[in-house]
Amino acid sequence: MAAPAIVTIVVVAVIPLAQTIQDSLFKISLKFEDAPRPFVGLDNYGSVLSDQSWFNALQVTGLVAGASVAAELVLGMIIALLIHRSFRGRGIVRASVLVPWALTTVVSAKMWAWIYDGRYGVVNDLLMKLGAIDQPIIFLVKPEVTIWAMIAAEIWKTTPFMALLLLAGLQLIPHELYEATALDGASRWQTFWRVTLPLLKPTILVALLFRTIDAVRMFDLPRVLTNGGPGKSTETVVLYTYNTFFTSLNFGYGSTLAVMIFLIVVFVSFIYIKVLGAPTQGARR
Amino acid sequence: MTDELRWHGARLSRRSLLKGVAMSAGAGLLAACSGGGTSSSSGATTPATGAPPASGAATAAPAVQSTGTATTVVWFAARDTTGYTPKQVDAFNKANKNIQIDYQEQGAVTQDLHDKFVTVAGAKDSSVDLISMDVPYVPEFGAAGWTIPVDEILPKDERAKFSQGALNGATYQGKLYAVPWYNNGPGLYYRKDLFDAKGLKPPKTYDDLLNAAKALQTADVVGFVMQLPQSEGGIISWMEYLWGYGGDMVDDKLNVVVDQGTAGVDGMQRIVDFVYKDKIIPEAALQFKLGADVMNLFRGGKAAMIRLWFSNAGDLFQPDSAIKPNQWDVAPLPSKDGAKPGPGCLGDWNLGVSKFSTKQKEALEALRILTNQENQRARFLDGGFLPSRQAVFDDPDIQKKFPYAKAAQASFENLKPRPVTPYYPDISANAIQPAFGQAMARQLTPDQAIKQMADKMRQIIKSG
Repeated sequence: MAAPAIVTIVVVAVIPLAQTIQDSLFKISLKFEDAPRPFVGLDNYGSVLSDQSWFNALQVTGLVAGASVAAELVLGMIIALLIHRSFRGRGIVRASVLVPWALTTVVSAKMWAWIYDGRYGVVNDLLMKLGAIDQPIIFLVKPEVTIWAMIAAEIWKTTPFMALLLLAGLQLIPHELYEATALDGASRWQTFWRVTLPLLKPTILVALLFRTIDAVRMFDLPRVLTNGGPGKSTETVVLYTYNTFFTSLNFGYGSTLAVMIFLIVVFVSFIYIKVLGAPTQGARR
Repeated sequence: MTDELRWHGARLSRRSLLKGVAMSAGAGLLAACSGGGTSSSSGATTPATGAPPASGAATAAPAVQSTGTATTVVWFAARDTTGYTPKQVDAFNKANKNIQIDYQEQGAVTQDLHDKFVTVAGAKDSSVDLISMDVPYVPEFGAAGWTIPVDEILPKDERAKFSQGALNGATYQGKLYAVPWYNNGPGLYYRKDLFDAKGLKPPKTYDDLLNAAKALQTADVVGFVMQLPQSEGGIISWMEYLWGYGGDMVDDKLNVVVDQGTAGVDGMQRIVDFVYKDKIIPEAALQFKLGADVMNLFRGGKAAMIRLWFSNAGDLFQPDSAIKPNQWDVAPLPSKDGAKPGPGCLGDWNLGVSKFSTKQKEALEALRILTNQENQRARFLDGGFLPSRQAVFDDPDIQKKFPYAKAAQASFENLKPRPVTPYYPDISANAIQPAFGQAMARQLTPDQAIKQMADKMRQIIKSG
């Protein structure tokens, strides 16, 4: 009975991964037809370690993933707590909170490009009206500003996902516990720290895992919003890998970079599950 | 409030959440998700209320079937912001019974088209037959073995009717890998009415350009605009100044020479000064990824001069253009000393045929028809795209409608191609564009940018 599932996993996951790992051991350039494809062993991996562009991309990815996931956790928690309470029109609010997440990233990236636009953008308009600036800022070409503009767009887009997961977790917490803490005279703050948060920990772990892995693989937002610029200041690891494949046509080295992304994702998952996961499991029992 | 009530409240609103979700049309995805999250999946079967009536699908069907015995060739193209090409394809499909074209635009910037074709051709996939190519793609795709030589459809006497510069741009290692589809180069569009009012002449030198822009600039009208984003369109603007100051990117043997002499730095400094010191180019030009962004400013009456492709001129003939044909003209690009017009970049587009196409015969035939005299004339007359066939310029209707046609034709003889090498797209995306982008954002001085660019170019060419 498991055969279809196993076949599916082999076809869509194992074979491409094996192929990519195999390609990463060769020098494959599609620039010239019939170019030789010599076996280079681990040379490509050695090149990664001295590749400044890769370390730059790693830094960008780390900053974007760290800042956006942290902000999303806080904002997502606030939103989840709010829409967990009952009030009139809650259904509409819950549905509308999800809209940013339901939008295709390319569409929302285009939208943010307009919001940040230097001539017509609403952000500039607001800041000018508030008197905060007297000249429009071209957000997407100022290195010190661009990456934060991108992070803001990412937070806007994926906070609903975080909120949704946390809301699901909140609904699993039995209400008897809240009743008991109320009887014991605990403040709301104490209830949150002593009851909600510990019981929500497994959910938070899953949400953080999903979101961090997603953020590490971030591609469509920078591709559409900045295409990695100015310079390479918003080039994420995946975008750099994509460029290595499709503009440099280096499929061997590109495969090496793809394997590196795979290793990073495995590493992130490992950290979350080992370091955060184990005690949580124990505490729950 | 008791817990009991709360639970009920939660259930109710879960249901209303689902209802709201169904209304907002993301039904399947969100219902499935909220079902999983709340351990209640009762709403997942809610039918999508917003489904279109069946008649919508029914009306679309016959159009697909009507091709009958005709062969359909798929054409990957870049976005035509004028909207003319789809009309030309419709006309083609009406006129030709045996070949039908399925015209597919691949994203807003040309890099999207490039990457899409690389994906398809790299996989040796047959889903593309006809491919539009910017000048640098001709050697790249030819060397990679993704496009086929098309010499057979242009015999010698036919070939003689094309602009030589455009033919050179379509040739790689002595073989024609594409047919020039329309010719293109830059010109200096200027507001004739504003120039006349101040008694000014179109600028011949970069200094003239600066002075004219300063004289004409007002709070509402910017002096000068060109594309300056970190993209192919942006680096072309700079490359013309590099050439204008006597430099070049690489020599004939593919040695990097951009950091030899001061032309690269001088050209870049000039543009940086135009933006930040002289303030004749608005900083917003750094985000003008499309030629249409520049044109929209000009045709809205908000710019005194722009450097832009001739292929964008069609927009100025649209009824919604704020400035009318008697208010503007196109002059040759200015140069450093004004003795000759400044160098422009060859920006024509070519059509080629994929090596992995299973319908090469039909694709070649479509290519032959699309680039014939009649189609090039129609494309100029109705779309504003200048032809690669010289005879079209002599057409009286053309000369009447486009007074600048002859000047454009003459300027095409002096255009320079970007480095003709399969390395160019890699060099452009990974060496030139990042350095240029950082210089324009004043993260690097022009000196540093040129050095970084040259180092990276050498590294790319060396490592293959």
